[in-house]
Amino acid sequence: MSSPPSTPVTHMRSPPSTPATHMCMLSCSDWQCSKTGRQARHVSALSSSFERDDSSVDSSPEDVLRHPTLRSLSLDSAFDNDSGVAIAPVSGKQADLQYNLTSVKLALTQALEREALLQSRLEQKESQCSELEEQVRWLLSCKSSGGENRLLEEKLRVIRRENEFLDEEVKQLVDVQQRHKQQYKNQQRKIQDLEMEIEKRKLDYVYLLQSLITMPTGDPRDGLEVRLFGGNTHHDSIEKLLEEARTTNPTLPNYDRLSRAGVHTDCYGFKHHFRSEGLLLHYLCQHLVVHYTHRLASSRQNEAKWHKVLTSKFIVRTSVLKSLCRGGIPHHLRPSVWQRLIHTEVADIRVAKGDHYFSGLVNMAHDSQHVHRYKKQISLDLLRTMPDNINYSDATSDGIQSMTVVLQAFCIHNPALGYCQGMNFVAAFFLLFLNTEDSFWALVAITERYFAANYFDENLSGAQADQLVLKDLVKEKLPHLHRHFCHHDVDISSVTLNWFLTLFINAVPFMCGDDAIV
Amino acid sequence: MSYAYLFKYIIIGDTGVGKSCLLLQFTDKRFQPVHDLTIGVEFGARMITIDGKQIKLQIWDTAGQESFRSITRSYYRGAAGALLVYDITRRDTFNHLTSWLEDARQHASSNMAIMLIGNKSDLEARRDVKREEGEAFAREHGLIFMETSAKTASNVEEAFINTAKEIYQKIQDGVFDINNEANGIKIGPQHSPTSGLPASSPGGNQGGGCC
Repeated sequence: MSSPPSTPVTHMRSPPSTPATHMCMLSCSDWQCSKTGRQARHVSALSSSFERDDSSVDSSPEDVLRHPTLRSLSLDSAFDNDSGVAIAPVSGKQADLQYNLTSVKLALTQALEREALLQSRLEQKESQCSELEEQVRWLLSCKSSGGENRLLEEKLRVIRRENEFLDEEVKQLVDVQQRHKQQYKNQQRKIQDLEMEIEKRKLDYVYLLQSLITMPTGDPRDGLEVRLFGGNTHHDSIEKLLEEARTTNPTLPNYDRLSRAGVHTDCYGFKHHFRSEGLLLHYLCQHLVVHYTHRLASSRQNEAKWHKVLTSKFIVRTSVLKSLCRGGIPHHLRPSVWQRLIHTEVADIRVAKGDHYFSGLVNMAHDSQHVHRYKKQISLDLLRTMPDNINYSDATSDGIQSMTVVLQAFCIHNPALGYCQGMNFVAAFFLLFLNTEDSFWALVAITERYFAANYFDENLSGAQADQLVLKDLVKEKLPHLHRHFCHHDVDISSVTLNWFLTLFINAVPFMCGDDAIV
Repeated sequence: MSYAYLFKYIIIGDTGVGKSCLLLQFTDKRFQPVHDLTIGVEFGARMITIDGKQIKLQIWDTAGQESFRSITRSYYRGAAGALLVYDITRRDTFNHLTSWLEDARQHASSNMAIMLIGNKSDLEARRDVKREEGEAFAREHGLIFMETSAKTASNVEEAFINTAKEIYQKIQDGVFDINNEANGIKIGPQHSPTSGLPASSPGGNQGGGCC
């Protein structure tokens, strides 16, 4: 009846790997079972194996009893053992069974621990698995986007090729543009040159035309006669040229208006009368000559030189300045140039006399005996100075007032000279360009610096001496002319004295515009 | 233009009396209300007829201001006639006549015909010198006298022509030596016994020397 005890023990003492194998089988078959269900089956399996195996144990019974689950299990088995079993031989068997139970319980505990371990491992694996699934999904998505990249790369290559082509195109276009620019520049230069040439031709034409208008002035009683060849052609040409020139220089006279009015007031206020068509044409040609001359490159260079002179610190009598003056002072620079020249000439006098010298003289004029001495003569000459100039044609005009002030101030400034006919021309002339005070200093500069001190004295001795010098110069330099004068018993000083005394003002035509007056 | 005689005139007198206006009225038959101031001397010429003879008047118009006296003096010599002008509206110009006459007597030929002219007779309202005063002065100094107006041309022709008549009369009387140019008279080219030059250079052949 007794079953060999070795068998269950042997069975129980199966290699320690068995629970693990067992667990593996469990894991595979019952993967989806709930944890509670699985635990119940473990317990029943263990209970069945408990009946067959009663021997070996790896851990001591005390360790097992310390485990609360195992302790309850052992109590249950103890009750089972008490019912219906003979004490003597049974007690030994009970002890074996007890022992087996303990061993089984121990094994169970170990198995449970392993299960917990495996459970945690399983969880780890599950999370790893989900991570891997995530990676797979990511890789799958990467795989699909990789196709797009290739597409984009292809597109990029195409665009690059297009870009290179366009770059090449742009380069060529830039070259073409550069060439065109250069051509344009060259053309512009050519046009400019041609325009200058045309201007030059126009100047030559009007100058020639002006020269063609002949004025036979034999006897003064004949008056001026003008003869012009070419009929209406030249009238029309001049009219056209004048209209064209007026677009850039509106101060030029208008042909129609002048021909209707028969009189023109120029920029300095001088009235020009035209008794005939020829004289009008001659006058207009003069204006055009001045206009075209001013537009020549040489005029611009001249102007640049004058600007340089004006910006330099000192302006003194030098050969450079002399040649510049002879080339003509540009119209709009004349006031500044004259002012600088005059102020340089009389600088020492101005310093010696002080800042308010001129205004002092003006204030003294009313009571001055020097002024009283010449007052009548001055007032007689005022309106006779430039009667054809609108600035000096009316006794109440500003020009006449300024001329009075300048001439009276000079009488007090230099009582030895006082007022001499001739000074009125000088004063009026300067007043066309300068203010009253500067005109006064201009008169001082002319009479005391540029001329000898006795030029305007009571016998005009300086001026008369100059006439003798001129005669000698003519005799020496122009012997043929000198003989001619002698032959006709002509004393040239009859003509030249007033040139000298009035600085040629009432001797040469007073022409408007640049280069007309030096 | 040919002429029988050429008479040289000189116009003298104070500044602003109307010397240049008289000349302009005589030569151009026009009046300029405001004439340019004369600096030094100016020149005018006109042909007239006396006794059927063409006479060229060569007229030197002088500056009136005191400073120019020394220059004016050199023109007295060689003048056959002089027009001594004053302004009837300015007494000072009349008062200065003596001084002008002294100059003329001193520097001109003693035979020079002098015409005293009271100018601006159109400005009767502003008259400052009576006509009788002018007449008296002329009588006293042996001058011919006229009142003129360069503006209205009144007596202007007469003043120049009457002076020429007196000179012509003096020539007729043999007072002037017409071959002496210092008298201010030249015989026209076609009348000149020594003339060989064209008409355009009147009397020029007789000069030769100069200065």
